[in-house]
Amino acid sequence: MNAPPCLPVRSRACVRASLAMLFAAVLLGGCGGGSERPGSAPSPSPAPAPAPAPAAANVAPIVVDGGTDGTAFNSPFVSVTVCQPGTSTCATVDRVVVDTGSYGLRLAASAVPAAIALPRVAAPGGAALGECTPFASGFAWGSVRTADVAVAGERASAIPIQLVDDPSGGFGTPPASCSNTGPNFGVGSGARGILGVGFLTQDCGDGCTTSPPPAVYYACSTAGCSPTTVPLASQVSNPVASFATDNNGVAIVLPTVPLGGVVSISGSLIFGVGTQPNNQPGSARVFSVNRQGNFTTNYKGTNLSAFIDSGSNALFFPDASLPQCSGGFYCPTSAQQLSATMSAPNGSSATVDFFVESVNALRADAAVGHAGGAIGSRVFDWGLPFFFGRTVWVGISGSSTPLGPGPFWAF
Amino acid sequence: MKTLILLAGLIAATPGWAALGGPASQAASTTQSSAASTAAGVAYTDQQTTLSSGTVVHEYADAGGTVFAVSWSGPFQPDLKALLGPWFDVYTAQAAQNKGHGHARMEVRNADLVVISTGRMGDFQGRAWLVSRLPQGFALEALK
Repeated sequence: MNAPPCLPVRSRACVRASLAMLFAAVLLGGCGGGSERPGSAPSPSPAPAPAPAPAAANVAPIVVDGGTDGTAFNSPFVSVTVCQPGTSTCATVDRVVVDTGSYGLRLAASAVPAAIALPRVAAPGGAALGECTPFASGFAWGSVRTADVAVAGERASAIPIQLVDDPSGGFGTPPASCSNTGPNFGVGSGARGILGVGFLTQDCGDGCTTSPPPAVYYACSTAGCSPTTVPLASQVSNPVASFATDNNGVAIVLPTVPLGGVVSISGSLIFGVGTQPNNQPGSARVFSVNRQGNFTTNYKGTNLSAFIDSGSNALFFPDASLPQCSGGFYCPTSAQQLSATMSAPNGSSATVDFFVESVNALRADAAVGHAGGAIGSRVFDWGLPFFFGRTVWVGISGSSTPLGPGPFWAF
Repeated sequence: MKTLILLAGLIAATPGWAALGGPASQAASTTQSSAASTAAGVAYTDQQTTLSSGTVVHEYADAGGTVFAVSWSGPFQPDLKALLGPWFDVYTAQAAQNKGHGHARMEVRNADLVVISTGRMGDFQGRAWLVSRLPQGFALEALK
């Protein structure tokens, strides 16, 4: 058998394999060639490190580390509590990814104790509602349940969430039309769930209310599952929008990260925009979005469709001049300082400096670092490294904030 | 043999669709086809289909009628099994190894197949091609 294929993430196995290969002077290429560290690593500080937010009811601590099994990389995690609606029968689930690129709470069924009986949400015909949540990386299949959702001191009452890979009630196997959309992504590597806190309230919206998309929501019975429409109230929804207070958006605060990477960092997920003394956006610049939820980023003279996504573990953009290693991550021989210019429909623009260093140049135990990667030719995905050393605001669609109505990004 | 039968079955079951590496599909009412040529002057066709979900699919076929690339964009993921044909299993098997990418991107490359899937709910884009099947002079930027 060949050397194990090196994953684009800094999995321990990959690091060990690449080191062993280096020591044995047997470079098979799987992990890419150069593992040089930049000589005198500059401190990448595109923005001053924000002061840590004080503990408060609207602040959930974020940790970015290797996750449940050490395979997560650049994944920001919080803890989320789910309760049987209206009761104190609850379970707290840690290692839930904070994802500004999706909407709603999805928990691995295996992370929720059987003693927590979450009622099933019904499809319009009365059958149990299931969902095949589409991500670019694959789908998450499971049942839709009702739960009270608490994060830090905030609580959303009786909202639909998704129980991913729910083995019960006929949900054990995804329908063929779901499996045919791509890989089975589940809740992702090293995670127990996904907390979608992007700027929409429902995960599908009007696109699922009048005619059923081919592979999103399903009505499931013993006879099987078939695509169904779903009213907005039954769709998996962003818990933030259902909080009693601090429900108009969020801020994500992360510290700067040195070149070479670090084992972990701590930050904050703050609820509300301008609703409390600790979430005043001040002079943060607002970037509005188009109908698809994107703004424009110009990189090396090319306009790209752009979004900001804490659930993407690198900055993904097209640059044929940067060498790639396996999985499409960029592996330049030395750290690159690059820049791109964002511009939004509301006229805002900003030039953003950023670093990209080879994932092979990170310290062996790094779960955080300035990673970049390829993503076709039309998209700039501002993944987690964009959040390093910044406070990034999300304004929820239809809500009002001191920065104006959502949807928007601001930083 | 089993693969070939499976492929034939898929094509029969999904009129208006062609699988990567297979013959181009017959034009359907929602389809429009246009002729193009590469920088090297090699002719190919771009067949565009708008699915009921609103997602637009392009199938690129060479002069012999074999689909060498596909692309998609729109609010929902298409049926990639129908679109990639026998390559779908290669894609999902290799994607399973690419853990930790995050949600908004999946890229798979093996000796011949390249699949790049990006975006998020409401706005997906993707492209796939067979390296060995690309017509001479074909620029990947031509994939819509």
